[in-house]
Amino acid sequence: MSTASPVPAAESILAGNLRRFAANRSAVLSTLFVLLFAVLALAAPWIAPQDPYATDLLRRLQPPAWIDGGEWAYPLGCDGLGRDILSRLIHGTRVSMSIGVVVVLASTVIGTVLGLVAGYRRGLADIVVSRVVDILLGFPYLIFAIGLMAVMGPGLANIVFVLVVKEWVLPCRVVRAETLAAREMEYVEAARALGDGAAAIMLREILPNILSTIVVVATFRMASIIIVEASLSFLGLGVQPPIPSWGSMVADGRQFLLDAWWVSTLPGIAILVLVLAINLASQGLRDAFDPGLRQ
Amino acid sequence: MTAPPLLEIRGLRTVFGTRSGDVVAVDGVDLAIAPGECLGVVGESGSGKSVTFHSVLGLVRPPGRVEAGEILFDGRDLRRLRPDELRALRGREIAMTMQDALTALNPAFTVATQLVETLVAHDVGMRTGRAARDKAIEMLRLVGIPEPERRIDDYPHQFSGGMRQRVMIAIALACRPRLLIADEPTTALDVTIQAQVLDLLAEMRATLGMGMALISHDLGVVAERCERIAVMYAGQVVETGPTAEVVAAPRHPYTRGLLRSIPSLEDPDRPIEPIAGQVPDPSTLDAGCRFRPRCPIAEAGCATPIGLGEASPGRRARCIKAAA
Repeated sequence: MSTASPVPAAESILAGNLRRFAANRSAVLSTLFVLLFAVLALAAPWIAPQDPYATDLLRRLQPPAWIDGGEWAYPLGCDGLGRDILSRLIHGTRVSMSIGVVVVLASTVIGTVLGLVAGYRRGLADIVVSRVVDILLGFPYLIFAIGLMAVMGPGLANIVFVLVVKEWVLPCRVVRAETLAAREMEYVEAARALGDGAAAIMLREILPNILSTIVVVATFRMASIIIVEASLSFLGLGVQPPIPSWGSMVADGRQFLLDAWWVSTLPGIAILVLVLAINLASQGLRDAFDPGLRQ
Repeated sequence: MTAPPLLEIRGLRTVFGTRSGDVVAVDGVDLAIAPGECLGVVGESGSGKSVTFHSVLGLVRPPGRVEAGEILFDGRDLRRLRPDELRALRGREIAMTMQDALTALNPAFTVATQLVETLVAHDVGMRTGRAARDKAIEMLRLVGIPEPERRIDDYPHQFSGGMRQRVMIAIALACRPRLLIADEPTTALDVTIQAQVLDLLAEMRATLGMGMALISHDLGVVAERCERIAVMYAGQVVETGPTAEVVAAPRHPYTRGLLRSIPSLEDPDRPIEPIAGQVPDPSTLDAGCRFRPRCPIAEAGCATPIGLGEASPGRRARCIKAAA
C-alpha cells in the first residue's frame, strides 16, 4: 500500500466472517473432522480394507485386532455375519453424509424460497405457508418420520423425501422472520423506489443480508438429520440391508451386546463423533457468522 | 405557473386501515411541480409529507392504500399505470432518496455493485461491465466523493454519514431522472454536512435540469433552497406559494407559528415561540379546520369545512382569515 488511507481496507461480510471462524480453534478442528468424514465417504471403495458385503461365517463376531482372537486385517473386528466392521463403517459414512447433505440442501432451498415469499409478500402466501409450517411443527419429529416411512416403505429415496418434508419447516420459519425484519430496512425501500421488482428485491437485497443465518441454521440441522436417519435405520425403516448404515449396524449388534460389544458400540461411536463434530463446527460458524444468535 | 407541471397531484387521499377503522394520513392534497422547479414540502412528523410522495411512486404498502385522487406525471395518471409500467418509471423518471442515509444502502454489497446494478437495471444505454462502472465512477465524482476510482469498491459502512447520503444521491441520479424526491435528505446529518448536501442537491438540479421535491420538517432548510413551498399539517396542505412571499408574510397561522418557532439571525433577541399543543391524532379529526385546537386566532366559523382558497395571486391558504 503506497497511499495511506484513513479508511480500513475493504472487507466483505463473508471475508470478515471467515476470519473470525478461522480464529476459533475448536471449530476449525471440528471442521477438519467433518471434512475427514467427507473424504471417507467419497473415497470409501478405495479406503475400505475389505469388501463390506463379503460374509465369512468363520469370522463371525471376531473381536477387534487389539483383543485376543482379533487380527489386523480386520482392525475393528467382524459382525454377526463375519463382515468387516471397519469397512462397513467407512461405507456407512457415505449413507449418513449423503443423506445429511442432500436433505440439508433440498430443505434449505425450499424453506428459503417459501420463507422469502411469505415474509416479503405477506398476505395469503404468508398465511398458507405459516399454517403449513405450524401443522408440521405440531408433529413429533420421529413419530412423523416413522409414520410416513411406514406408509411409503423403506428405501434411500423415501428417507430423503420424508426428512425433507419435515426439515424445510425450520429454515422457512427463520428466513420468514429475518425477511420480515429486512423488508422494513431503508435499503429495501430505496430499491423499491428505484424500480426493482419483488423477485429482484428478495434475491438481491434481502437474501444476501440473511445468508449467514441460513448457513448457520443449515449446518445445525445437518447433525439432527444424521441422527434421525440413524434412528430410522435402527428401527428398520430406513436404509435396507445389506447396504451398511450406522443405524442398522447398531441394531444388528444389539443381540450380541453381552458377547460382542464392538458390533453395536463402534457404529454408535461413529455417530457420536460425526454429530459432535458437526455441532461444534456449526457452533463456531454461528459465533462467527451471526453473533446475535449466541445465547 | 406558465409551463405545464411535471408532476401534479390532485385531491390525493391515502388511508391506512387499522383495527379501529381507516386512518386518513393524506387528505385531499393538491401539489404541483414545474419542470426544473424545486418545491419545498414542510410539516411536522406525521403531517403526511412522506406518505404523499410514497403514494406518488406507488410505494404505499398494505394496510395503507391510495383511495382517491389523480397523480399526473407529464400528463399521465400514475395511478392508472400497470405495476410494471410504474416500476419502469421509478428510478428512471422519478427517483427518490430515503430519509436515513445510514441504512438506505445495502450493507452486503460494495457501492460499485449497487450503482452498477441500478444503471444496468434501467439500461441507460449500457449493458454491463466497463461502461457502467465508468459511469458509476463519474456519478460518484459528480456528487463530490474524493478518489471515486478507489472508493467505489468500498462497502457502505466504510463511508461517513454525509458520504453515504452522497452515494445515495448518486444512485438516485444515476439514470438522470426528471424528478427527484428528496425525503428528509439532511435529517441524519450534522449541520455542516447538511449545508453541503443541500448545495449538492441544488447543483445537481441545475446541472440536470430536473424538478425536485425537497421534503423536510425544517422550514429553514426549505426556505433557502426552494422557489415554492407547501406547508402540510395533519394530512393537508395548509399553505402554498412562492417561498419568499410565504416566509415574509405567512397567511396561515400554522406557517406563522412555524416561522416564530425558529430562531432568527437578523433579530437574535426575538423570543422563540413554540406552537402550543400537539399534532392531532388523525383518527379523531372532524371536517373543520385541523389546526383549530392549537390556533391562536380560532373562532366559531373554524368548525366548518374550509378549502385551500386563493389568498392572493399565486398563493393559497386553508384558513378563513387567509385573505386578511
